[in-house]
Amino acid sequence: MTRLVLADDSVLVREGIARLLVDAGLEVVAQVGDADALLRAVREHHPDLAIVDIRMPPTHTTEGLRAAEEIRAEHGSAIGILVLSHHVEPSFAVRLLADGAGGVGYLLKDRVNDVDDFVDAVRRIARGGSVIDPSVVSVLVGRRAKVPLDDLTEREREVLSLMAEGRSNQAIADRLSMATKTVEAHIANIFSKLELLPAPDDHRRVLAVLAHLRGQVEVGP
Amino acid sequence: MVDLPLQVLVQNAALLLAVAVVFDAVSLRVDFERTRLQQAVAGLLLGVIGISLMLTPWQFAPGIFFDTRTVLLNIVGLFFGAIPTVAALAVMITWRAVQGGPAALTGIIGMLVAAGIGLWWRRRQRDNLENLSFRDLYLFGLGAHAVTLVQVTSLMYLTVPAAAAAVLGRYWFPLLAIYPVATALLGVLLVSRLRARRLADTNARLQRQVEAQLEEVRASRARIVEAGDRERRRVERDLHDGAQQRLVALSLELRLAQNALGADADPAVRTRLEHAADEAQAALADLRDLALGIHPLILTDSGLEAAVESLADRSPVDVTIDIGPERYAPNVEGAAYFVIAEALTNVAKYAKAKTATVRAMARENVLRIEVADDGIGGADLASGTGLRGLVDRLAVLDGTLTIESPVGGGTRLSAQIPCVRAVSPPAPAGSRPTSAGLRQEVHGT
Repeated sequence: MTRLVLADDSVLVREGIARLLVDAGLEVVAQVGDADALLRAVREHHPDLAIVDIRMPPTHTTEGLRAAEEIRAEHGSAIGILVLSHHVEPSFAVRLLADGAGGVGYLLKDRVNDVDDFVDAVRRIARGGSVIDPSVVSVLVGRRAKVPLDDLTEREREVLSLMAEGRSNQAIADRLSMATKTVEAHIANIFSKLELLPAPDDHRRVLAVLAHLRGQVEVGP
Repeated sequence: MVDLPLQVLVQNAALLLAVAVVFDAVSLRVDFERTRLQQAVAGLLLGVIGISLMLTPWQFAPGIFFDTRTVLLNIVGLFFGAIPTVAALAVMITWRAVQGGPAALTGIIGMLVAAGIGLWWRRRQRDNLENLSFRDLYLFGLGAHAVTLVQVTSLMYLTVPAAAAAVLGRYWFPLLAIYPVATALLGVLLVSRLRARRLADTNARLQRQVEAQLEEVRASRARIVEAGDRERRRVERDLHDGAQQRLVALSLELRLAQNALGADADPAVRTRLEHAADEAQAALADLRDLALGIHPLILTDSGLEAAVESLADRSPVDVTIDIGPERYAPNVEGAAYFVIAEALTNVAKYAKAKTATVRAMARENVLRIEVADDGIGGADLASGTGLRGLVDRLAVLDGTLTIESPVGGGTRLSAQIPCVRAVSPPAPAGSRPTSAGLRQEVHGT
């Protein structure tokens, strides 16, 4: 069973998410209201995953993001991290992904509304996958001129977006109702058109695509 | 020298006026007559002028001579008041006593009388001095010297009866002809001086008032902007901690309610709950857009560089960023951010540019910001209310905004904001052993 720690300074939200997850068959081992309590709870329980609100006391800015980075520094990729926020910043996404180890996610808090998707994301992160909110990707893909995506077909752009959200080839195939082989062919085309090096795993692929879309040099593993 | 008393006395009066003009020019600048000591010093100087008059008199006989010192004393009494008059009298009486001669006593008493008349009239004209006309002053001089004539005549007959008739026979006419005119001329000079002084005082007071009001306006403008910024941050935080969190909680409740319905529930109820959850979702999206426009979280948290990268992420133009990780005071960062945000918005909307460059660098306590693009140019500060608002916002921080935008030659917006560099780079609480490396990689483009 997937064990997780939940950090959010709003008790209402925390309780609600916890009940949703418990209903979905996950185990919530601790609920905390700030970053320090989160770090203690993680040390104590060694959960599979921590779900963290980005804004917590005392300054209500990005305590959650910093706590996430500390957890990564302390425990490596053994503990997955899902950062929730009312508002997404592509740079925060890249910051989270940047250690190259996988098992991280960055989602709008509203995504809890779509229970199945949310629980699926939680499970994928717990298994070491990466999940990036579609709105991060759409911000980046939305501005065509910056990174030339004009060479990509409409289909390839859809595949690119799903890839940047952290979907596996299988998931992309399911979502777009096409064969896995077709997805792989699209991805090969995308990488060659964007002049990106093929990434060794799904996680690095997310980072490479996001970094590319942000107009940055690929961040090395 | 004995002859022509009229000519000599005219020269003496002219000397008085000339010295008075010089004195006037000098003392206006030095601004005498403020403290008692300064008044006394002014009186001593006036006394010296008196001596200079007594050095070039019309001399009837040794020890019997006439000059315009009574004119001087009339005017000193009238315009300068008690302390300078007493000081001037002390100097002049001492001088006359040293000179001695048969008319010394007459001369000394004459000086006392002349000064007394001046002081007496001063009491009556206290608040009206600067309104005195030439005619007023002439009549004053005429009256004063009529008294002087009577006084001199009677004393001469008492002290030097032998010479009295001869002296007075030659003296009365010049006395009444020249002295009142000299008094009036000297008086007019001092009246104009009083007026100039009053005007200067008024000007200085008005200037102080204007400066104080200007300072107050600047301070209140700064307070208004400051309060506005604080309010924006508060609203953004209230939105986040209040409405947004509650809406998330509400969505969660709706989902949980759906889950609790069970398989045999009324499908209509399920649909209703679905719609309610969708509405909550839409409300969250609205609030998110609202909060983003109010105050960017990333600016407060990560500083100007990260916040501008976020702007660049959302910009359709390829933006190159050259900004260090330094942090500045919140109001400086806020102003810099809004300048760059507005500039990039304009680049996207109007400039038809392919690329833009944003630079920000602090040198000698001035943060210099530049946003340049390769678009069509032709922008100016007057064209948009956005830019106008930025000028006002920068003015509060004593900053400036300039724009260069030749038609067809791109646009270059430059802002300068006085600043003191704050901690650099940001050092958040708690150890972040990996974060520095992460940031370096992320920004290492």
